[in-house]
Amino acid sequence: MFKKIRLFFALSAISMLALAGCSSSGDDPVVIPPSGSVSASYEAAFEGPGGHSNGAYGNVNAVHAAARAMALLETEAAALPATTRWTMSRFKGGNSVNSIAFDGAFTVKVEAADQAGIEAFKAALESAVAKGVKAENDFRGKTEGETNSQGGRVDVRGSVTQN
Amino acid sequence: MFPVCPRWRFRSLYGGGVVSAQEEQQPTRPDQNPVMDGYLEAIEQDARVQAMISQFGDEAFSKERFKEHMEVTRISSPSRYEIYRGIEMANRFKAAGFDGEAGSDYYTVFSPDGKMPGAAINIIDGGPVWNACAVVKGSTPDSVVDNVNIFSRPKVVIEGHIDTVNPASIEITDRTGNTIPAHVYDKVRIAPATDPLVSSPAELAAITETLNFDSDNKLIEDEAFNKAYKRFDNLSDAQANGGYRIYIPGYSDAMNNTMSVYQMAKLMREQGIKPVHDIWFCTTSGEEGRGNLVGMKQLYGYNQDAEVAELAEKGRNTLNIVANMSIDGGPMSIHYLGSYRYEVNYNSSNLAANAAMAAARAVAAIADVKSPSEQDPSKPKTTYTVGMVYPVGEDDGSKDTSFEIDMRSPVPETLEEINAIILPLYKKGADDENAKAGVNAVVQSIKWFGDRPAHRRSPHLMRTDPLIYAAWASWGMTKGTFRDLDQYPERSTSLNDNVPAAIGVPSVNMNIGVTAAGGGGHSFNEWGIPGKLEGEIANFKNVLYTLLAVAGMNGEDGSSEIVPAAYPDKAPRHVKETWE
Repeated sequence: MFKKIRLFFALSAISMLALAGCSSSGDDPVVIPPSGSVSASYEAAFEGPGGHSNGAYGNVNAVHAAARAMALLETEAAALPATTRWTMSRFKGGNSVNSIAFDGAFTVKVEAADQAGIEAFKAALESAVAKGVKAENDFRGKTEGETNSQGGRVDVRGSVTQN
Repeated sequence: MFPVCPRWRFRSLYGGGVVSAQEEQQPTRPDQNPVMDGYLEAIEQDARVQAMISQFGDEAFSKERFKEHMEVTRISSPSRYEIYRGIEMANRFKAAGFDGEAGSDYYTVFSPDGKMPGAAINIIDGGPVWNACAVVKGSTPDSVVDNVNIFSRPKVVIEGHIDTVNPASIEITDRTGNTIPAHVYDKVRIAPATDPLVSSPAELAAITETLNFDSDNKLIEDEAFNKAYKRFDNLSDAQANGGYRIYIPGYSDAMNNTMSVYQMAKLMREQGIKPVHDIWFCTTSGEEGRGNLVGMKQLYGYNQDAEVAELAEKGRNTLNIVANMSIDGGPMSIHYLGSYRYEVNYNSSNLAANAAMAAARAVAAIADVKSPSEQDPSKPKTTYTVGMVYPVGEDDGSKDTSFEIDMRSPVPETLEEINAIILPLYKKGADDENAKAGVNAVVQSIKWFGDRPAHRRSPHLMRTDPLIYAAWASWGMTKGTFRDLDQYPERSTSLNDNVPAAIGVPSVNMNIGVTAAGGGGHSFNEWGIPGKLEGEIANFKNVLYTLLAVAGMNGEDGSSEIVPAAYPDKAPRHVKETWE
């Protein structure tokens, strides 16, 4: 029990220090913790056609694509140095259980030894998003940019933006 | 703990009873029923019925119908947040003459607190249920009903649902029932049908042309209206002749049907048709997603949480509903898809192992599942989706994330099969994340929340049930295929009538609303283009004839009566009674 409490305080202290060390410049989203390492936060967002869970079954699912990308990031980032660490949060999407989700997203916060480490991570993230998107499209037999007879896109798309 | 799912055990008097091998061999089309044929012919020849139909299909009236459809549909109404569409429907019922005291010839049942007088249960899944019903009182004397009160008179329910998948939620700022706050009015966007369908919420938001409404929420007949309100045969017709797509969530799922139920009530009141059983025209809550069929569960006293040992508590039909017609767009469905719906949660006690990541590992594995029907096309269509994922509460999801999954199949075997394939993947997500982190921190749990009992009628009852026969025969009368079909439509649907079917109340799911074209159901870009009137008129007749055949109808001069001999005055009251 004491160990847990001590750990909790230690983590709280670290996070408070990290907050105290945040850059206050509105133009610079890069957070610089006191350790001297560099950090950043990215959001990956996914969009697809959505649809009825049963009636439109076979449509690509933006939440499925997001999950694929999250899982793939481990492979894509495997070669990065051990000093590059990241945390997943805000895995979210969809509007109802009986629908194919038309949107999906996750946030990833990364910490690296230097800016080059951040850039390398971002490249890995973008690659994971692209591969997650492709895997979901492939699984459902859709191709990038494909449209239905109405001109609406039937593929899932992904993007990465820095928070 | 894995949830107990007792629903396959329920069988009903009207369907799903034990079926002999001999019965299974019988053709699945209704037996000819000369008595019901006579009723249907008398209904068709009734001047008041014909007046209802010609009014419904009248061009000026149909324009007003369209306006009402848009005025109500623009009120955002997510499942479990339907209070404002409920208020709107209750007000419209009252304005249409359903303004008497409870128990009078015409009255409205609605309460902004979401409770329904006479219902066995009111607060369902922890929340209120905003059903609004307009009642046409029938001629059945009170004396035929045991322990009668005004709400336990025998009745036929005809209903359409008022909840819509998008948006996911709204802020409820006024619960008095007096006002509809401005923030719940959505934009009704229109774009030329020749434009490509919008592919993202941003593209939808970029459409600037909208239908316009005055401060009383009345649709204004301006230039935009004139562009949008044109009826076409199909999309090509609309594209060739200046049609517009109308984008608004709920256009077809299900407000064109729900508003048709409302119009039928209004027209029946105007024509003074007196049924034998009471008719409750209901606009119901909770058909979609998290709604978990709460509207029907209130009407039928269906308690998902009751244990199997307490069947009497499982469903209590205290409102004495003898037959149910759901107008959700089903193709005269009488079989109901079962579904499993789970909320799967990941909770981490140590940030080294991440709950969002554990959920993602599970969803990524689920995303690669081929369902039984994808593996073997000879099997019944079996589907799944992770429909939602979200951080729980105030957490950013790294400690606490849940997703919701829906699995469906028309028969228990394939539903069990997909469930068995996917079930181990939930825990695998947590196990893999714990293994990666080297700590045993993420705990996975599962909550069964979607109780949609699957139901398949026995062939014997399909042949002999009066409601099924009336729907079948009147379909033939109104669409020119009377008894020409080899068999009754066999498609199973997952709709509101899963609940009455589980109680043992006869039910059929039908369609009235027709579009020239439409799509985007359950997605951000639901749209429709008004269809030609002929299709809606035929559907309206089909539903009206069926309704009057099962509810019974008194002649205009009171001398003749179509007797609803089909069903007893007292319906199955609860699942135990049905089961025994």
